[in-house]
Amino acid sequence: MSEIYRTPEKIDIGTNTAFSEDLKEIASRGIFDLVLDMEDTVYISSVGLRTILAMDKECKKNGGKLVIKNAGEMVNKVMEITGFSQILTIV
Amino acid sequence: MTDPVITEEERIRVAALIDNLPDVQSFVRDYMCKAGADDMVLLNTELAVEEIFVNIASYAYEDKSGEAEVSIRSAENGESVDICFADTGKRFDPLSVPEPDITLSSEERQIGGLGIFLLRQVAEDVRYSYEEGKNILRFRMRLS
Repeated sequence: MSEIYRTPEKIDIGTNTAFSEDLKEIASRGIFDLVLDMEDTVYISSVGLRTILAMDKECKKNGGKLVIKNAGEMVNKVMEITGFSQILTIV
Repeated sequence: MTDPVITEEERIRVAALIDNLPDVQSFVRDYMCKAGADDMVLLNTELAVEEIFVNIASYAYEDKSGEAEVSIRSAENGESVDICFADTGKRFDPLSVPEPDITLSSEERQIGGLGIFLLRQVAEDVRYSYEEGKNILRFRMRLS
């Protein structure tokens, strides 16, 4: 079972709790093949990266995979400078 | 005629609470817009501001209440903007924290340590000092 999740416009300290809870809810249903469609996301801070990294670990631990697609300019840049583009699957 | 360079410093003082981040962001954003920042510079500035302010709001005062002051001014003849955060919380140099190892795999990677790392990547001239009981963190954003 896989699922696509559309990330919010901004993933910051204000929106991260809801974002994190959404991902935990998906994992709680046993879904560990997850596509994060980041087309709508223009901004991400470290708190959002931590949430994505935690979900990536959870998916891998359970034999699944987290895939990021449609990441925009700012998100891509942040992924690159933090090395996340090397450890996450970005298509 | 070229646009006049904004030179006067502006400042805002808020309680060091996460809930006040939007006020700080709009204060900085308004100045950056007046100074002529493009969208990417605005996003990078927003990132730098969030990482610093969240650190102050989360750790500077522990369980006590306190304030953060943000001042901003034009620099390098209008080509950059200098932003300064000050708090009177416990003495702490965020630049002393070791940088995360960004080459580790997802499984090995520690969760955390990224905020200040990001700040140092998107801003220039990031400097910490402790003056008259204040933690002062300064950085520069280039406008182009």
